[in-house]
Amino acid sequence: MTAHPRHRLDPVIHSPIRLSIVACLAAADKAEFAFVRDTVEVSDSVLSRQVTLLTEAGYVQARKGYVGKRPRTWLSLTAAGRAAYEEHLSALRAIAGTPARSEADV
Amino acid sequence: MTDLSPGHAAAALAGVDQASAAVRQHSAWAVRAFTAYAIGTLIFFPAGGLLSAVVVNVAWAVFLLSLLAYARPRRVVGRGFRRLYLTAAAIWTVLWVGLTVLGHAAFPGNVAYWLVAGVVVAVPMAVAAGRARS
Repeated sequence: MTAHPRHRLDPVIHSPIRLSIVACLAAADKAEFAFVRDTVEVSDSVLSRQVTLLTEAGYVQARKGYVGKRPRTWLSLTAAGRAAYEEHLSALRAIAGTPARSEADV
Repeated sequence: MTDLSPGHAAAALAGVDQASAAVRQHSAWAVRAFTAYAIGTLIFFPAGGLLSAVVVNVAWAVFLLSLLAYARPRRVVGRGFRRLYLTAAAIWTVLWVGLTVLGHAAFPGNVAYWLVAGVVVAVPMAVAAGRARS
């Protein structure tokens, strides 16, 4: 018997905000904290809280740096985060009944 | 595990597409930077080989610094950019050095050589611009 695809949904990525954050980072090598905040349309504090959860899960890496004198925080997806995201997307597509696509198509 | 209807899954996938599209849109600066790099090569490689003037080297340095100033403050770096840039830059450097040495040794003052060689040296950045767009 084949397990229902919902069993392959990742509980960490399942939250709509965290899915948006991970989707944003999956399409990038790295993205600035403020860019992700504006794209996902959340406040600094909400994004910070969600990024902390994703970091603790080992899915996201946060690095601090400077552009000129301005401090910047760069976010990127880890290999584990990318794998979990691909698996989660695959489950979503199976549930939605849409054909599988490669990451390049997303 | 939470149950998810096909409609909710489709909505989640639509949100994913939207986020990906936003990133792609804001990563388009890389296409412009690679294109500018290729065009700069077309101009400065023949100019440097034929004129050997300090002013050409200074203008090339100013051009590269301007490109860096354009790229550095960007808020998002598209997927695969780093690998694409490093590959293109490595090939570009080998071509630039190799064809410069060959040009000065075998074709000094030969306008046709330096123009054609300039096109060859510009190819890696032009290809990178095409890949960054896709």
